[in-house]
Amino acid sequence: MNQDRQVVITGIGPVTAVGTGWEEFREGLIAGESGIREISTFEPGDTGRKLAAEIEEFDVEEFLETPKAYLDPSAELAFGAMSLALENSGIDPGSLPPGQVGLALGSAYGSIETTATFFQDLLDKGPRFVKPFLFPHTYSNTPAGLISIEYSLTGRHSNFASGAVSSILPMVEAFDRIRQGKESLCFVGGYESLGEILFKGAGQAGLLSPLDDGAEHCSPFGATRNGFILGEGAGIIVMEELSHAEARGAHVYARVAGAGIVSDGRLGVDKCDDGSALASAMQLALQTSSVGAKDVDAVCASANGSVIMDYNEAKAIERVFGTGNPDLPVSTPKGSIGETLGACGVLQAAASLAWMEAGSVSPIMGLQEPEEGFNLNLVKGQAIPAKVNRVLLNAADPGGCVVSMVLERVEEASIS
Amino acid sequence: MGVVSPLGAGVSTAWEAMCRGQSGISEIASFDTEGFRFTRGGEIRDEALAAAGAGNTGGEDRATGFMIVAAREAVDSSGLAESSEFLDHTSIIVSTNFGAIQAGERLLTSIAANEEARASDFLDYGFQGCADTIAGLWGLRGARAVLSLSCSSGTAAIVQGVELIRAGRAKAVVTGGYDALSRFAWSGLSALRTMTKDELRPFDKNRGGTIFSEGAAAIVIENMDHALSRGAPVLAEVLGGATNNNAHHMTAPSKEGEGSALVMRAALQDAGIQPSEVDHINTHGTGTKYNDLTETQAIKTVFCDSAYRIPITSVKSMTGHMMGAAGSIEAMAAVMTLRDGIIPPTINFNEPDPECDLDCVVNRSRNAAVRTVLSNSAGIGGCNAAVVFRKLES
Repeated sequence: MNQDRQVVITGIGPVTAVGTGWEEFREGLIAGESGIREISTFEPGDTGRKLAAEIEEFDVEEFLETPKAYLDPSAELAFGAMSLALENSGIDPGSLPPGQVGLALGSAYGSIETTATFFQDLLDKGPRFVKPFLFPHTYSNTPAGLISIEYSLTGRHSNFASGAVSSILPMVEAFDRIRQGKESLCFVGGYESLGEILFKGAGQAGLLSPLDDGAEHCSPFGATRNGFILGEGAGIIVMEELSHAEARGAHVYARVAGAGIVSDGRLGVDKCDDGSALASAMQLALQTSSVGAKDVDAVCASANGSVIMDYNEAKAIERVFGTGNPDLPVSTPKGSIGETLGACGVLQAAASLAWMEAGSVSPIMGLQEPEEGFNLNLVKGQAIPAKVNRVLLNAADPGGCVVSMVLERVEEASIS
Repeated sequence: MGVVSPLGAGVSTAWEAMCRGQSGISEIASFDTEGFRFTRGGEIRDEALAAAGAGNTGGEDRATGFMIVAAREAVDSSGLAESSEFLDHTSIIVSTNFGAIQAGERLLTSIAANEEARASDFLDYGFQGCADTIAGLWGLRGARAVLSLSCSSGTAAIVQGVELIRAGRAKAVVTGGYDALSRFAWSGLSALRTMTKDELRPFDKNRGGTIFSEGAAAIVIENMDHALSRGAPVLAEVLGGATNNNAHHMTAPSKEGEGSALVMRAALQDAGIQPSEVDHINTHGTGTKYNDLTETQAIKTVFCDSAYRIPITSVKSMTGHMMGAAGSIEAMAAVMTLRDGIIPPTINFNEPDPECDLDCVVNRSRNAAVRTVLSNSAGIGGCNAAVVFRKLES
């Protein structure tokens, strides 16, 4: 294994409620825009909830190379992210070497809307009246398969249905494989669309704000937080071996310095433990990066307004950085783009890159008063200027698996 | 290893049934088949689970329950739980097509009827819930993932597990595949027009299609040094594997099995061996016209003239097509072949197909000293996966 191979990010295609495409996303995030508003694309029902971070004015036709007879809404977002990532990276898909480029995507609830449509015919009319053409679009791996066809990607292929770590796990895998010399170029990321089934299911599962008598709102680390707000989104990033990127004159956003994956061993989402799993994941990411806690310039937290998960993360960050780097800015994009589940990890990375490029850390929208007792430098109100060279980002699944990653800015001049 | 299959629960039960050439296909009883074109499948019977001492499967979803039973058997037989590094360094990578589909059907039915959905059904139907449930059996703190790569899922889970171990992210990984039959899946699978009302006869001239079935299989893979130092019962070495995509068509195989040939070649390369070193291929062999033809072509492409001297088999002829679990149970069969020197048969074989003219072990098992075996898989969405096992020299 050649551990000297450096892995860099050379392209990013975000599709979010604060912007589609890199510039729009970065500017929207840093400006403190919020995409959380009243749901307009479907009927939220009488659940008492009406907020989400929907992507408005998204037309998949702009992102397709060839016409499609049908796409699940989640596949539409994935196609958008892929097309934008290619454009952003300057890669001509026709020039890619056959069989050598990896594609790994992920999504928590994947094609659930098409699954529901298909199932409705079965319920209403019976098994012989289902629509055969819809069935392949109910599979979780169909968006990745369709993207493979669109861009003739015959190399390494994977699809994660791993909740809120669905898009960060492919990033870790690509990091490991590129370092080991198995690929030099990978497209990785994830997506989640939002419709009636996901909204109602998550609401009834007791995950969404408001879980108390308070207002429906998203307030990561906030004193009044009472559950999260769903968002839809997608992101695909281009991960590349450094010399491969240099050879094609690519713009290098950042180096992936290290990553750690750890799980909380106990079952159930209602567990409060001072974040030992997340603290371990962060320490592992730092150790494998050879980056000290004091050298981190910002933390991109996974906090989304969940009562217990935010508490655990706050305590974990305090534990890892509290003594060595107490003034470290901590923020999260989820107050702007909502909890995007399968897209969460890759969009955490996108936000981190936005901070590096903008030279400022975006504010946690929706956060008014932090919970008393959180000893963190939470960025609220508006972005704060900062030289951001190293970001530690988290992605946490409520089921227990948590992933941390360290991204390090690469100055164009310093690449030799 | 651990297995819950239409041939019974437990590795020894299922393996002995395979070696006898037993069929696990019968009339479906777990859901009402009224109105369905096809009514035969491979099901898990409660008696089989009880006979294997499976006990309480601990959940309210059938597919998750299968995976629990298989994972428990695999971990128990590996002795891994006695390792001091078990809790901190064991990962879970399981894979499925339809996930917790019973929970999913309940969720969709209640939302369609405007009724309150159960919280557990929503959480279970987010596929990751299965990995959490399996990890929760012991309180494992390693990485957890659920993959979904249609019918290449089980094999892909092993490949992904190997990746975690090589990268130093885990000492051991519980890999596996699982799926359950359901009205939802059955209506869609029937509509795909890949199923047959006849027997499932892979590589036979008169094969008419596949028959889907359910179950789970789990394989514990482990860092070699870790396994040897704790005196583990090592069944085989995982030399390597690969996944890829045809990038050709959502439901049809690529021309002349090109994608399948590429994934087998990539798996051999990852394993660091030459095609000539392979003694046996446990095929995907679904029994459809096109799969068996293109898989035969792919094997010829990769192995050239030596393709004809490599015995192949399809255990799907006995287990049915276990979807997300197919690659896992076939890997189990491949490993048992290494251990026992027996290649299980492709049953229901009557008439050779001149286009599928490889050395298929038909109807009766064959004794063969196999040192290196390749297990091959493919699925909807154009995904392929292959993994290579080698007998450990003592």
